[in-house]
Amino acid sequence: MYSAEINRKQPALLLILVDQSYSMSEPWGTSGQSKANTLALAVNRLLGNAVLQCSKGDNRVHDYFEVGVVGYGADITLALHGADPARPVLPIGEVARNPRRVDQVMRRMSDGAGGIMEVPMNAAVWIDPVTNGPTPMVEAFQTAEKVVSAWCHLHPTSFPPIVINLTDGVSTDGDPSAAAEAIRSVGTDDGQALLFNLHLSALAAGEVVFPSSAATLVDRHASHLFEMSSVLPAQMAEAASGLGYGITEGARGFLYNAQVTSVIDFLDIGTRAVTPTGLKELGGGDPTS
Amino acid sequence: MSTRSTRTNGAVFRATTRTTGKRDGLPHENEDSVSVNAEEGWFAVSDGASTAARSEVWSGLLTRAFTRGEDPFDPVTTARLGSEWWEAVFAPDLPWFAHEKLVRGSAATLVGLRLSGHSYEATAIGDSCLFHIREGALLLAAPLDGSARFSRFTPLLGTGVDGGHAPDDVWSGRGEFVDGDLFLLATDAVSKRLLRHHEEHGTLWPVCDHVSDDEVFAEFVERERDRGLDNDDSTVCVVRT
Repeated sequence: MYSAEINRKQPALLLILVDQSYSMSEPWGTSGQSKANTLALAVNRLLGNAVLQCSKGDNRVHDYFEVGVVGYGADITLALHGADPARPVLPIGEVARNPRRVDQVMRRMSDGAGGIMEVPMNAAVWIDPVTNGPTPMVEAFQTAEKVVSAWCHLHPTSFPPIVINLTDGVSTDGDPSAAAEAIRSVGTDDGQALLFNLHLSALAAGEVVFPSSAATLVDRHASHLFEMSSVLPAQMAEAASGLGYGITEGARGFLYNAQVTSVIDFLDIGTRAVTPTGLKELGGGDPTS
Repeated sequence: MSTRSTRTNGAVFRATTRTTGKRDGLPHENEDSVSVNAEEGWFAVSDGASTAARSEVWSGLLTRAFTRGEDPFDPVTTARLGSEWWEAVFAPDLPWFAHEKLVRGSAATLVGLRLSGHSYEATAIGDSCLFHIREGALLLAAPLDGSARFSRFTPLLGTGVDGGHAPDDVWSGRGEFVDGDLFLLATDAVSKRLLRHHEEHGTLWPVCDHVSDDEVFAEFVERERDRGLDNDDSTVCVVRT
């Protein structure tokens, strides 16, 4: 299970659910930026890294996986340019060629002589911050379940879909447990779909990462999200461990009161899980196979 | 690819090179390279890193440099080859993602062999390997000498100024050979399979018997993929003395 080879004939699916409720306009941690702003940066970074993973350095982008972004707040939206209800997820090559814009930003890099220099780089933008309305998590999960079910039907031998839910709050349209269970009950020959929940906090303390039981969780909402989260497959647990997280047997893909770095790390793990070169790359150099 | 014979410093060599790409890939997506200088008795094989930019160009530059008599590990040579790589792959009208990928550079393994008289010198980085074979017996496997030593990560020679590797990552060796000996240079999938077969059976995996033409080699590789050969670009340079 969770070992299917990922290639262009047998791509994987990464589906990101982004909370766009009003509370996402609050600051995230000590960054001074809103949760929505920082999360948009993190998701754009994820998508940019995913594109570069599949780029060969010319016009080619190998379609090792398909990706979708569902925003939920005042509305349920398919956030990627070119996506619509008939095509809710897009091959990564199409994502690469259709950002909303490409910003020029300055990147600080080593100058090779002990100093730091700033060099311009292209930063593609697919997602802009949106903060509006309530947190219809049930509807978001139901949307995701339809996408995942249809995708699994078309890709029965692929690595199972990975669904990552990024939220700062409590569902406002009811208990999402059944909808979450519906996502996790579909799958491919290689295993059931994986649902991971990343809860963002305005607080700078109380972060819980990859728990293996609900015992350490302080409130009912946290326990609820924990129960809805899939256990990390072995290679993802290994990758998280390689990034310095304490991982125990049964650790789930769940962050609570998560800080920015933890979310970025987790998005890296999720993205690389669906590329052929895989998760071990997080711990070393370039693979040659 | 080719079979060429030559006589150098009193020794006769016959070199055969073959390569075939991944099962799901197109021929031009093969990122391995092989180069032979039959006149001098110099041979090289390289495997471009799959996550690196235009690594088929970089592996080609490395193998050709080696068989021109250059040392790709010399920092000045590495830097010059890196510049050649950039000039070969960069174009101002590339899409944003290609530009960003190229900025991150390229990388590849390399194994090179030079024969002179009845002596050889070899150098390598990564998991492309050299095998020295005499009458069916494996005398040398380097830089990796066991199938368990292969992983998804291996030292690589990069396009950066310092090549992006530690000095200890570069293996060098030398020795003697007798007429009739065989040298095999191979990228990682073939190397790993050969070593595993040798560990399990004590005999040589017969890849060198299936290089008579491209089709024979490709069919052999395809058959062996159903028996455990990794689905990867597969390249060999067989040097018969």
